[in-house]
Amino acid sequence: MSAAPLVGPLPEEDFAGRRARRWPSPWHFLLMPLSLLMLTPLVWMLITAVSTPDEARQFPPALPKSIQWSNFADVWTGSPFGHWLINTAIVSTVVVMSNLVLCSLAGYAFARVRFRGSGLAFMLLLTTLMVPFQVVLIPTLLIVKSFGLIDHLGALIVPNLVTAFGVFMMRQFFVALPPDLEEAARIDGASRLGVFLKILVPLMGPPLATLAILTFLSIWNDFLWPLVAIQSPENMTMQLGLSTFQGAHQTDWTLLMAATLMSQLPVIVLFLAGQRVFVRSIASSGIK
Amino acid sequence: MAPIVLEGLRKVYPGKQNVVALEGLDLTVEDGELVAFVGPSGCGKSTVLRCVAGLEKLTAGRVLIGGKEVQELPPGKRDIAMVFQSYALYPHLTVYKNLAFPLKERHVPRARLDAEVRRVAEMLELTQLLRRRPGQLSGGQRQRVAMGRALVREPRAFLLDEPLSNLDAKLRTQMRLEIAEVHRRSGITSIYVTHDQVEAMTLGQRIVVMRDGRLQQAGPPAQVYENPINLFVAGFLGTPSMNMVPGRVIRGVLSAGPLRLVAPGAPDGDVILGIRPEALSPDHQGNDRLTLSVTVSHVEALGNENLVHARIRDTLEGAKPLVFRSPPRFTPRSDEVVRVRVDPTQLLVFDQKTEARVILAGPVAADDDRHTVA
Repeated sequence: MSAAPLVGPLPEEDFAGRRARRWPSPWHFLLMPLSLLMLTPLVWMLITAVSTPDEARQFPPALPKSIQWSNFADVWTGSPFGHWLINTAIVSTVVVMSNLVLCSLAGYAFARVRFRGSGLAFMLLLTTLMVPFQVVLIPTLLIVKSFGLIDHLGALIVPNLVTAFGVFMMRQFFVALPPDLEEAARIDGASRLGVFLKILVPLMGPPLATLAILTFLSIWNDFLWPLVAIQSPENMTMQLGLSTFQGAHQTDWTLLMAATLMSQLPVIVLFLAGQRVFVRSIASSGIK
Repeated sequence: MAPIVLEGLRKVYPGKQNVVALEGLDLTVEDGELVAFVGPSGCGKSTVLRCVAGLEKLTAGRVLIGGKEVQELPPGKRDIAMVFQSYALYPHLTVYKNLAFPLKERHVPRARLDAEVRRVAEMLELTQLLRRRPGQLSGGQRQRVAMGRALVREPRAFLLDEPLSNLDAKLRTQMRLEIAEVHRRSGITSIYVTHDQVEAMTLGQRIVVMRDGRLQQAGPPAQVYENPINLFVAGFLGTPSMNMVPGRVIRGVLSAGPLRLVAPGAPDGDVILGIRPEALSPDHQGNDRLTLSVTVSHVEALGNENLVHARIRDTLEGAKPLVFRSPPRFTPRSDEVVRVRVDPTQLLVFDQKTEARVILAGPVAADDDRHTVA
C-alpha cells in the first residue's frame, strides 16, 4: 500500500468548509422579495415625482408617458425649498458637531472620572431615554420660549446640542476600552485632556461615525419638534416644508413626491457613499 | 537612577466589602536593582506597581523615588516608565511616534527627540520597523516597542507589569534575556511584577513573594528558594511544587509516612515535611529510614528528565501525592512500585498549624533507631 503524497493538491472536500458563499443561497430567495417590497414605496415615489397629476392618481401606479421634470422646477420655484434645504443643513451640521464633541466628553467623564453622584447622574440620564419625546414636548417648548427662540433655528438646535442617547453610547465605548492606553499616556506625561485628544479621539472613529449618522438622520427627518417650534415658512426645515404641500382638501402628490425625493437625495447619496460604514455603524451600535 | 522606598503601603478599595489589596508593605529597592514581585493572582503585586506609578491612590504609606516623596504626584510627574501586560501601544501611531510620545509630551527639542528614538530603536533592533503601526508587528516586536517607549527618556524607575505573559514560551525565554540585558545596560532601578516564578527567579536580583496583600518574604532568589520562611513561599516557588508530607515530631524524631528522621531542635507536634522534587531520587537498593516505597501514577517525559508522579504506599492520612525528577532512562510503568531516596540535607520542616518554617538546630538526618517513636 503506497503512502499518500506529502505534497500535492488538497482533496476537494478539504475546501468545503472554506468555500466562499455562492449565489444564490436559500437566503436570497427570502431576502430578494423582501427587498422588492421595501423598494416599492421608493419606486412609487420616484414614478409619482415625474408623473402628471392624472397619472399619479392611477392605481396600481404605472410608468408615466413622459417624464415631468417640471415638477422639480415647480417645487424649487413655487416654495422656499432652498431655504428649507439650507435650514436643515445648518441645524443638522451644528447638532451633529456639537453632539460629537459634547457627548464624547460627557461619555468620557461618566466612564472614567470618579465624582460624587456620578452613578446617580448617569441613572437620571438613562431614565430620560425612556421618556417619549411627546411627554416632554410642552416643557421643552416652554423652556425654548423662555429663551426667546421660538420660530428661530436656535429652537431646533439648542434642545439637541447634546443627547442622552449620544452620551450613553459614547460612555459605553469608553467603558469597553481598556484603560491601559490612557494610563500609559498619563505615565508618559500627557494631561487628562491631552490623553483624550491625542490618544482617545483618534480611536473614536467608529463610535463617532455611528453617532454622527444617527444624529444626522434624526435631525434631518425630524418633523414633530419643528412643527411645534417653527411657524415662518422661511425658518422651516425640509420635513416641515414638505407638509405645506399637503392641503386640507387637496394634495398635489406629484409636487409632494418631487419635493420628498429632493429632500431625500442628500440622505440617499450619503447612504450610497458610505453604505459599508453606515451598516456597520448601526450594527455595532446595537440598535436599529 | 534612584532607589525606590516603600513605607507602610496600605491600599483599601472602598466599597461594601472594603477590599484590602495591600497591607503594611515596607521595602527598599536599591539604586539600579531589579526586584521581582511574584505571587498568585490577587495577591497585590500589581497594586504595588500601580501605587508606585501613581495609577492608584494609596490609602496610607509613602513612596519615595530618589529620596523624593511622590505619593501625591500625578503619574507624569514621577519620572517613571511602565511596561504594561497589554503593551498599551498607541494603535494609531507608528512605532517611531510611539517611541517619541513620552519625549514629545516633555517638549524635548526635535533633534534630540529624533536622536533618542533612533538610539533606542537601534538598541532594541526596531530600526526597520519605525514606520509600522503596532497592528503590523508580532508579539515580540510589540513587546520591544513597549520596552523602547519606557526606556527612551531614561526614567528614574522602570516598572514592568507582567510584560511577557502574552508571549509564547519560546519568545518569552528570548525576551526574558533581552530584558535582563536591557536592565544591565541601562542600570535603571526596576520593579518587575509577574506570576511566573521562573521569570521572577531568573530576572530578579531579589524576589518579593506576596500573598493576600502582604509581603511574605524578600531576598535573593536562591536564598528564598532554599530557605522559605513559610509553607506558602515554599509551595509557591519551584516547578513542580514542593512535596508536602504530613508528619509528627516527638522528642526530636520526625515521622512522616515511612520516613524516620532526626530533626534537631524541632518542637513536638504536627508538622509538614517539605521535600523538593530534586531531593528525591530513584534508588532500587535503598532500604533504610531515608527510602520510600512509592506507587507510580504517571510519568511526564520532558526529554532531558522525567517527572514521576507517585503516591507514598504507607502514607499517613492526608498525605499528598509525590513528584520527583528522574533521569530520562528511568521510565517506570503506572502502578509500578519503586523505591526513592530522600536527600536529608534538602528537607524543610514547617509547623502544620502556623505554616511557619521550623528552624532546626542542625541538619536533618536519618534516625538510626536509637530513638523510639511512640
